[in-house]
Amino acid sequence: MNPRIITLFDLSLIIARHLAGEMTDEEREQLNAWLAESAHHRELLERVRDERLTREKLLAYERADVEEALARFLAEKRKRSMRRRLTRYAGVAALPVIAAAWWLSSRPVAEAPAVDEPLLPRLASSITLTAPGGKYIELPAALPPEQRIGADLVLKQEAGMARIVPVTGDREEYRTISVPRGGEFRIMLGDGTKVWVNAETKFSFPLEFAGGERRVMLEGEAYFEVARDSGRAFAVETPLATVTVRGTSFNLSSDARRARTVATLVEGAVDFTVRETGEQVPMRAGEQVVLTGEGWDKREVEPSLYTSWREGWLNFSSERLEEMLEVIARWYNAEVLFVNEAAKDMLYTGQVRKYEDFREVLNIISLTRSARFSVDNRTIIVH
Amino acid sequence: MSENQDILLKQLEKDDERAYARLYALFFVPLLLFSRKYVNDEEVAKDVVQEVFIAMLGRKKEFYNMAALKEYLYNSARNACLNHLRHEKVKGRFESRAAREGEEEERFQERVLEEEVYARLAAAIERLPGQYRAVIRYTLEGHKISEIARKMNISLDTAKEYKKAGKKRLIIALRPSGDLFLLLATL
Repeated sequence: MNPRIITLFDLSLIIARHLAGEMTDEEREQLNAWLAESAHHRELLERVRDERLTREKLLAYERADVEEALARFLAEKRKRSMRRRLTRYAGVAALPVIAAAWWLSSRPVAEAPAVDEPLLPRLASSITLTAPGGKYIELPAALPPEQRIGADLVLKQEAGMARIVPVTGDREEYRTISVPRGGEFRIMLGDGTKVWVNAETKFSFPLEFAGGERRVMLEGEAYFEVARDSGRAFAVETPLATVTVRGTSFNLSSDARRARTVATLVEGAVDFTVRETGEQVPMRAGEQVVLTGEGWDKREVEPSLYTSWREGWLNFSSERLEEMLEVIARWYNAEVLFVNEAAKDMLYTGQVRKYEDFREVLNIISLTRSARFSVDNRTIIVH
Repeated sequence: MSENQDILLKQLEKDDERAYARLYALFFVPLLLFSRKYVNDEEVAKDVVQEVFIAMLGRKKEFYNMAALKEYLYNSARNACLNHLRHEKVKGRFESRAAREGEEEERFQERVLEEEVYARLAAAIERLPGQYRAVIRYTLEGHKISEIARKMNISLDTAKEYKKAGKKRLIIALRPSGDLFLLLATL
């Protein structure tokens, strides 16, 4: 195994666990590999194993006056923000510095993965609209200002969103939008509700809402900005749950393969109802409900992380490398091959630009020295 | 736990005081010990750490995750220390820069690693309930269980019991998934 796939920070955890007296076999192997690298490493481990040093360090933690240091810092901070307000008033702007760039530039650049041709996402073949009988039409790649689609519908564009308006026929009839991998579709429903439909998603909606309720169906992921209508609730059904709202913005994703439904509330209030048990979970802004085979869990999150796919990002939050690459690979129509099995379980958090050359993505990951990649045709090999 | 980290990083972007309070709780001591190795002086090291945090104020901070943030903090602390030493050089206490370079990088990494080990250990111990915490501390410091029982004025069997249970909790606290410090590889 290549020990370089372990970061310094991974290693510190392994050593801490070693001191506490428990390591997994894999960790022991990683530690041994690192020890074999240099005499310095062996000396370092000897040193941290020294009980006297442990005693001194722990004592230092106990004695350090963090409160005092923090108070000193905050006093200085307040003084400065006061000064800055004054400066801004005088019309002098401070130059922003991108922190992420500093730390990247301050370390040696990792070996670039051997990729010769750009690896770009293969974008959608086409987005389709299916009628109840199973008849479907392909929607044009670029939204026209106005265009007749099929016998009884008109496709319009309004504020960058598609509108599908019935000309004749049953206005309450449902239609299903199917967005393939690499695609994305924005639609405004009959009531003015805006829906961002993500890739690999099916979304069903009535051409016009009628009656006392607004009800749509979702398999996949979408972001909703629900138009206010105090008289009628808006309900989104996924295979495993229903989210009911009045006027609010939220992101809902249901992943059939993993039997996982995730609702993230950006603003307003919704009820999340578990189909199987009938349990109703009220949600407030900033909350997320995750429903899996083991039940549901509610937690507080930073919603933007879960909704920024709309702005062209692929997001990952403590995702295992295997699952993360699976998502990325689906997007880029690539295959993944793990030569190094241990790398599968490494956790990643971050965002990737969706339309970039995949090389760049791999480059960024290799910068961490936590994994190395090579690409052969459209297969990503993880070393 | 990663949601907490996401929140922390978001707050930090906005220079929210809560984020800095958290950063101080997590990194003040390790950065202090780390800096002290370079500058050899407790007070100077304290100033260095303060300088590192002050330098973040009002600037754009986009860290992908905690590992990136830590990487940045340690790098900044090192730079601040080296700057300080460069001034000291006039007094003839600093070796020439050229001779240092390659070795410096390796030493830097080892120093970060060493402090990280104890930062994790200390944070995990901190989260143990009182009695367990004391027993585990003494154990890690190399005391025999009979000494620990005497120090804490508890029976030998009780001490053994605490040690066993405390160790178990400590190991759980040090598990990657259960660890607030959990350092994710960077994307």
